Amino acid sequence: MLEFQLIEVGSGGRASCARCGASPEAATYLPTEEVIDCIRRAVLEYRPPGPNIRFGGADAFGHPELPVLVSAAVQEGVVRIGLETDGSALAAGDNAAGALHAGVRHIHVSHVDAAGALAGIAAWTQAVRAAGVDAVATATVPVCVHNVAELAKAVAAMAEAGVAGITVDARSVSVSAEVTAYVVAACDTGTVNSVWVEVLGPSDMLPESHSLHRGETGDSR
Amino acid sequence: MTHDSDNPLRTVLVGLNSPGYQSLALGYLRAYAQADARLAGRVAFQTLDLTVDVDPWWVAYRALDLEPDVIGVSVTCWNARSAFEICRIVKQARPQTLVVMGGPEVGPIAERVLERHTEADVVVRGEGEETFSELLYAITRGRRVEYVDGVSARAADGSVVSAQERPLIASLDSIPSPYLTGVMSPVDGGAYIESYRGCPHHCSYCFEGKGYGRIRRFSNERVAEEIDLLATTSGVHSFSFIDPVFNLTPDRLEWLAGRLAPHAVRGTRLHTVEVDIERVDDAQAALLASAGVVSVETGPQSIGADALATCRRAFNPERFVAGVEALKRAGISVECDLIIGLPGDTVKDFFAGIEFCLDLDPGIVQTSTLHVLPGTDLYERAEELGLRYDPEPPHEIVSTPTISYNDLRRAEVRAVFLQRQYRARI
Ligand code: SF4
Repeated sequence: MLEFQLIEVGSGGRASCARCGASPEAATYLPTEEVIDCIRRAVLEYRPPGPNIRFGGADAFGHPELPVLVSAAVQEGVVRIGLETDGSALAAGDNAAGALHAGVRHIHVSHVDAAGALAGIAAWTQAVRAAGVDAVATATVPVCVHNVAELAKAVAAMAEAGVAGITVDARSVSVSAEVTAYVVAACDTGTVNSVWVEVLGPSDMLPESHSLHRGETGDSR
Repeated sequence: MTHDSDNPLRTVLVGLNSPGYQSLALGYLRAYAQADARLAGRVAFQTLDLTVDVDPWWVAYRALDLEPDVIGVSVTCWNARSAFEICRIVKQARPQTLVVMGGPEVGPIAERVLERHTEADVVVRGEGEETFSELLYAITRGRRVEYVDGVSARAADGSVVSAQERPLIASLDSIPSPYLTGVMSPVDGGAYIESYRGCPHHCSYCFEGKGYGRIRRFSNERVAEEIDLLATTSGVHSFSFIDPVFNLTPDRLEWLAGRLAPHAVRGTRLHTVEVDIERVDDAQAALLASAGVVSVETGPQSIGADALATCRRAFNPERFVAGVEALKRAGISVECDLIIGLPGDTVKDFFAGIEFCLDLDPGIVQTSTLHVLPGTDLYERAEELGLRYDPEPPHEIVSTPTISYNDLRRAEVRAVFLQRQYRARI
């Protein structure tokens, strides 16, 4: 509904479940000029309301010239600027306040390392309160067999930290009654905590009673 | 009640408002009663204009400190719980105080309120100014209050009775202006002018188009004086109009813009006036801008055909879009409002409405949940339409034939999330 164009600042380096065995390749980042070109193209092509972009592909805070990229986006007329991060860099130093000050209004945290993600969301929430501006944190939880049972707990913890919306990415787990029960519990935990939970995965992952939580695309926020 | 005629009747008016606002309704009541020569020297007024978040026990404390003979409370669906609690405490602490309630939450269901709330002695039905003055006059003369036209009250035998209806005030100018009489001091951002009563529309969920019937206007002279007073009050940089449709007619809009423009040039701004957006073109948008209007509020409330038909609302998407675009060109922010839970709407309809509004990038998209308010058409037709709602104020919708309780709650959470995302911009 509110589309954000993904502007890749690099690739790789994204953590995934350690118990699933995959170890992340090192992140590589694109030259600043190349990213700025992408911003310019995004500004020409957006569908209202916008233009809205999200710096991602790799942890945005890893890009050596992130302030230059954000400032370029502001200058190009982007009205909603988002950053993808695993959260830990957001919690470091004055990064949250600095990002806000520069014009970032959307933080999208990948909830893999729970401690880092929660620290990042909490730091952002605190900085937003202090600045008195409208800004939001959203999160994605990549679901695997190792964390599915803890989904509701993760949603509750992120809600307490101040997240506004969560995408539960369940595309890589098989549907079973047990998995569905965990995902439903995550949705309900979000609802009672006023946090919207959207689920990516096969349509039979959720029962009809929870069909509103079915996400349309993986990139809508 | 009997009153010792040697002392003025101590009358305390209690308003429970949103933070930053004052009760215009109480201002009118007091200004009208104070202008009634029969009450001069016989009634002493105090107004407690407070916010709805103040603890009811402290409101009662302040009211009781004034040892009221009469306490008048203005009740809306938003402050009703608090209002009833205050009245309950006051009645317990000082049984001889006559508790008078009025306002949209109690007027249309006056007898039911009196039957359920023994703390209430009198309910003023409908337009309150004349009825309240007559009520005070009856008290000062030692007459029984239940015979005053426009009130419902308890008779001597304890039964609840309603006197006959009171006709609407024929000339609104007979109600003195609370601002011009000094009954109310305008506050920045929280002062409202009412230039007419009634609404040309008849939306089923709103009592505005039903309660006041035909449109009655305050005179241009009166409105002009109020504008000049508010705009020149030190510290008041912005105010608003409470009128249901600011651009009621092209002539009137032109007249208002002409009166407001000199103040706008000096920096006075009008915030959130309600407009019929489908009538707004570039010419109207320019008039609004020249009047100092910085933001307007409008529908569509729903874009679902069934809901629109059931709620008797017209909606022309092309004209709506044109209106928003014209206002944006004039630099005016638009708040598009949507209601979730209207009869006939599905969750899909509701989100299609949000998408429609977001695509227009109006400035603000605001969603709210349906309240089935006493005195509205929906309240009367709730059973026929299968609407389940909380019988206690603020009467929030619980479920409809097309949206379950749980889906309503989910839709609310998602809508708030989308609004937060939309608002989060540079
Ligand atoms: S909702 Fe607005 S337009 Fe409709 S009847 Fe009420 S005041 Fe009039």
